[in-house]
Amino acid sequence: MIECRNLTKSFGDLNAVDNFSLEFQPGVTGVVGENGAGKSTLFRTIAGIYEATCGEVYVDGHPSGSKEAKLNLFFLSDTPYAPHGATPVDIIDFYKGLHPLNKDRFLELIRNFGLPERKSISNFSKGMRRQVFIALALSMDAQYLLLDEAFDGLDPLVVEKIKGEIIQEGEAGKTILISSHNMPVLQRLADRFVLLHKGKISKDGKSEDIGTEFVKYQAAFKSEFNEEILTALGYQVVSFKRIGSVYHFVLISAQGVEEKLESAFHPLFLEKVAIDPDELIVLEMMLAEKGDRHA
Amino acid sequence: MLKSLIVWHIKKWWPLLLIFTTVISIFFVSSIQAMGMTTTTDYYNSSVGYRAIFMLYLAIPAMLTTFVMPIFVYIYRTSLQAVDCFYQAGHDKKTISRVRVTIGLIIVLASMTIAFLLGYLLLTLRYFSTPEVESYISQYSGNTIYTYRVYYNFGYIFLTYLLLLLMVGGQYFINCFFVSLGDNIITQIFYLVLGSVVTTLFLAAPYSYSLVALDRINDLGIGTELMQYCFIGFGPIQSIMGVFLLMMNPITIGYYVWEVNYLPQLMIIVLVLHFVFSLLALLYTMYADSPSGEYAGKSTPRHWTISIFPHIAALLIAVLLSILGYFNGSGGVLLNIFSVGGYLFFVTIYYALLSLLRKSFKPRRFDLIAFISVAGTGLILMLVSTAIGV
Repeated sequence: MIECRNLTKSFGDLNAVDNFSLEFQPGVTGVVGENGAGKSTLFRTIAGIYEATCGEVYVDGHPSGSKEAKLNLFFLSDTPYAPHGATPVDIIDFYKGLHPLNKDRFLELIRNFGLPERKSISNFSKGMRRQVFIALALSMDAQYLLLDEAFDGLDPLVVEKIKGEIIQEGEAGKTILISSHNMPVLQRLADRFVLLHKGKISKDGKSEDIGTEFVKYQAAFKSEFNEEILTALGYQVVSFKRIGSVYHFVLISAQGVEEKLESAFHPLFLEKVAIDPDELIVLEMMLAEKGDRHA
Repeated sequence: MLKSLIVWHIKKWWPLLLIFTTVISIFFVSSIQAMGMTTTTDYYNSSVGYRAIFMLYLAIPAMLTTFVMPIFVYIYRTSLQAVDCFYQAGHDKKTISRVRVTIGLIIVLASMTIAFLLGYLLLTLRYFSTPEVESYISQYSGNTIYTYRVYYNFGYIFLTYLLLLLMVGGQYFINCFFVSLGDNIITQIFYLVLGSVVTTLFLAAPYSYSLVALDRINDLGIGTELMQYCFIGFGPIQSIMGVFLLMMNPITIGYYVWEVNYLPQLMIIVLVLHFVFSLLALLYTMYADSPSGEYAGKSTPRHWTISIFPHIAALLIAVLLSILGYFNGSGGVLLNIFSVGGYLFFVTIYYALLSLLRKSFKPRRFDLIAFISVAGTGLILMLVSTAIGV
């Protein structure tokens, strides 16, 4: 188990991670948030790369940064390091001096991804490089995997392959933390979501609990309509936009909104619409951005 | 895992061993090849110490490698990418550092040793293929001229090598210490130069200043004697000099070459101090904690003690500049327009280098206060020097 207790990591006056307390259990956890929310800083602090300004992090009871904690954990950054001119085989030879790993598994994954084993990765595309490092992460004999921006630059076919491997690892009892801006994939992969906003936990829950309180409407009105009207009616507006003459808005707990709008604004039409699962996390982020909720 | 880490570093760095060995060998072997194996009737010049001076061609390039290797050792701390990789490894951060420092040391010492053995072999071959004593009739004068085979004590040469090995190894740790203070290539090189050259060279400046001032005030009459040591510091150059003065016929040759009394004795002090500094640097590089990853690549010093370091170096130079008038006989620097100009030049360079180091021409408050204090102290010392007639 990874345990963060009142963890704060500051850079000058900025608290990149701010009084963060949480436990990460086996399974796949999606760590999401806007750019600068503190995801990478959180991962680096757990991995022992950054020293915490305040608070503690424990990995299986060992303080982060200790040899015991690091032996059982692998952090894959968004721009991983490879020695100059290294081939995938060179990379595994380099990393085996740093972490316990399974070379055969790595080579098997490289072949599965259809990557050349003995060509310099400096000639690889961004996506191919990413695949090499995902293969590396999945070959680690580590109970804890922290994958930062895991699916960046990968095509859907590769993502599907990797997704299968990650689910397998998660089911095998590993604790996997993934940060990504690829919400659809993350949503299908993670059992749990932690939403970060300005270094604090904005939401923490199971995947199926994400966005359950949101209600989305689309409507058209004869007269002018805006977000302030909904706020004045006492509703919390998460998202409001106008496309042509149709308004789309998402509310929290929209009890009685239809009756109120029907009677006061006589809409040309007003209907509740389903929220795309991909949109739920984005709406949670928008809500956090509005500062309406802090854990 | 540790074995793989060591093997990887050896595979990665063996070209450095090759380059270092080649460079040192070129200097050392060619100097031996160029040496004359016979001398004329001047038997004095064939004495051990004087003839050991060729070891300088081993010492100087070997000393230079101690300035290059630490950059490779600590380069992993200069990018977040590399830090991400090395700091999360399943080793203590200290283990990573120790492995790199130790392999670096082995490369430095091994390249010096290989070059020495090559030169030693060549010297032996040349020495024993030279006839013991020859005499011939000069074709110009018709006089008989005696030529002697130069005497080399091979045990003494080997001892010189061992002592140099110790000093080079020590300098390597000192340089590692200074490089480890920086978090990007520019600051690492800057601290290396500042620490291993400027500071060590001018470490004796405050001592010198006090000495001169005391002599002037009390008229002790020891100034002329002691002033000869004013510029002796504790850097790589002094340590090489120390080894040679120690290994040569210390008193006679020391006086013969430099015409300075007590210089060899002073050099022994330099050597001992250098050794002490080396030990302290070794302890620091092997046991100090690595900095947190967020400093990787940054030019801002990670601690105030590092912030103050360039200012200390500048202060030492300022102190030294304030007594320069004594040496050029101007009767006080403020009376010497060249020295005033020189001081202004120093202050400008000081400010420019500080701006380069901090990557900003607008210094932070700490730097500004330190800059004004150092420049002001130098100026006050100049005034004092003038007042007491230094």
